[in-house]
Amino acid sequence: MTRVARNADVDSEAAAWAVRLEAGELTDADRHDLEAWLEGDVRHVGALVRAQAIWVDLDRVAAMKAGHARHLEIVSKREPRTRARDWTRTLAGKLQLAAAAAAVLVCAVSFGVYDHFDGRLVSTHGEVRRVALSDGSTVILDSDSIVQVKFHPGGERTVFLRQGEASFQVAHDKTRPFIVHANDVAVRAVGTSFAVKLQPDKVSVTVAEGTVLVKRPIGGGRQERHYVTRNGALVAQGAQPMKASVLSGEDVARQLAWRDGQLDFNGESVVQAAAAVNRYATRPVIVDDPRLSQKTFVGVFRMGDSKAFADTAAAAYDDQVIEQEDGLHIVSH
Amino acid sequence: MERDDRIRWFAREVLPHEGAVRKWLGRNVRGLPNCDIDEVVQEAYARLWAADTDRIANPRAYFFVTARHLVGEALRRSRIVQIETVADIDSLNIVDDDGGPERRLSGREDVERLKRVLETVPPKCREAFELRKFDGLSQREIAQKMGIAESTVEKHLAKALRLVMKEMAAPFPEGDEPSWSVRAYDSRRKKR
Repeated sequence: MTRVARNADVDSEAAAWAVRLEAGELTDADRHDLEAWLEGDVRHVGALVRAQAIWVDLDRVAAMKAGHARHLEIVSKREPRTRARDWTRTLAGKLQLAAAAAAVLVCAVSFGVYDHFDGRLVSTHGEVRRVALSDGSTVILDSDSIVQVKFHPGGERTVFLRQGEASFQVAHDKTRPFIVHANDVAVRAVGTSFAVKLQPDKVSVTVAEGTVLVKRPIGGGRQERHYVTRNGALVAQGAQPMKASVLSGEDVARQLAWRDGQLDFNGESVVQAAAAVNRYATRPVIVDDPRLSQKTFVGVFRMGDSKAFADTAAAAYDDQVIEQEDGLHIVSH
Repeated sequence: MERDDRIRWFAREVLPHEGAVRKWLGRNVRGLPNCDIDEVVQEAYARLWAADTDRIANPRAYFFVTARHLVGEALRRSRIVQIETVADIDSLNIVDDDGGPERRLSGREDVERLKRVLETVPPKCREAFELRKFDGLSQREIAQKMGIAESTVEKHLAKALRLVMKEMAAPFPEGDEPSWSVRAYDSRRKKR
C-alpha cells in the first residue's frame, strides 16, 4: 500500500490514518510512520481520535439517513395543509421517532445501549447546565443537581427535581400544564419563569415571572394550595404550613444570579459567601481568620473563580491568601 | 478499554458536543492570538484521550472545561491579552443549548451534513463511501466490486471523511438549525 500522505494538513493525515487503521493490521513501516506522526505534535493525537470517532459515528448517521428519507415522504403526504409552525413540530416529532428507530438499530449493532436519553439531566460540581427541552421550555440546573423530565405527548409536562436547584422558563401552552415535583410539593405553571430548590429539610420556590400554583397534600385527602406571583417566594418546610413571602425584584435577581454564571453577594458573611463560592469551585476557599464570620460581604463574582473571591475578601479585611493543596486559605497577617 | 471501545465512547459521548464547544470558542476566542479553534479542538481531544475516560461522569462538561483551560493557557502564553478578555458571561457557563437529548438523538444536522458532503464529492468517492457505510462492505470488498486498488478505495474514503471533518468544523449555516427547541431558548435568553 502507499504511504499515508505526510505533506497534507493535519486533518487530511488524520483521516487517512483513520481509514488505514480500519482496513486491518498495520505494516511495520506504517506503524513506524504513525508513531512518528503522533509523537510529532500532541494535536495529531487529538486529530486522529477525532477522525476515528467521526468515522465510527458515520455508521449511525448513515443508518439515520435512510430512516429520514423514508419518513419525510410519509409526513408530507399525510399533513400537507397544517400550519407551518405545527407542521415543523410534527415533523420534528416524526423525525425524532424515525431517527430513534434508526439509532436504536445502530446502537444494537455497534454501540451497546444509548444511555443518556432517559430524560435524566445531571449537573456536576461547579457546572451550571442549561438544557432546551423539546416543548421549547428551558431548564437550568444549578451545580450538583438532578432532574428527571417526563413529557406526556400532548398532555402534562412533568419534571421531578431529585436534587439541588433548577430554574424553569416554561413555554406557554395552556393545554399542557408544566408541573415540577420536589418531594411532596408540586409546582404548577402554564407559562412563566421560576426556580425550585430542594434541600434536605425544605423545598423553596422563587418566581421571577408569571404565576405558579404550589400544591402539597396535608393528609386526609386534603391539599394545601398557594399561588405565588412575580417576585414571590414560598418555602415548604417539614409539617409547617407553607410560608409565602414577597421579595424585591433585586432579591429575586440576586437569588437567581447563578443562572447567569454569577454569584451575587449582598451582606452575607464572608464565611457564608465562601460556602456559596465553593459550591462551584474546584479549589475551595477556606476561611481561617475567625473574624470573617462576623464580616459581611458585597460583590459579584464569576462562578468557579474562587481565587478572585479569596483575593477580594482578603484585601477587604487586610488578610492574605495562602494557596495550599487543599484550597485557598484566607489567613490574618 | 481497548482503543476501538474508547473511540466508540468518543463518538457517543464527546463528538455530539463538539459543535457547541466550537460555537463557544467562536464566540469567545475568535481573533485572539494563539487561539486557532481547530487547534484547540484537536488538543482538547488529545487531552480527553489521555484522561481516564471511565472516570469522566459528564463528558460534555469535561470537554468544555478542557477547551476553556486550553484557551486560558494560550492566552497566558501570548501575554498580550488579559484573561478577562474571555470573561464574557457566556464563557462561564457550560451552556447546554444543543436542544437536549431528543435533538441529539434526532441528529438531523448530522444527516444534513453528510448529505451536503456526499453531494460535493466525485462519483467514485461517493460510491466507495456508500458501499462502506450504507452497505457495510469492507475496503477489500469495495475494491473488488469497483475493480480498483484497495489503496484507491482508501483514498476515496479518507477524502470523504476529511470533508465530513471539515463540515463539522464549519459554523452552523444560518437558519438551518432545527426550530423546535433551540429557537425558543435563544429568543428567551437574557443577558444582564
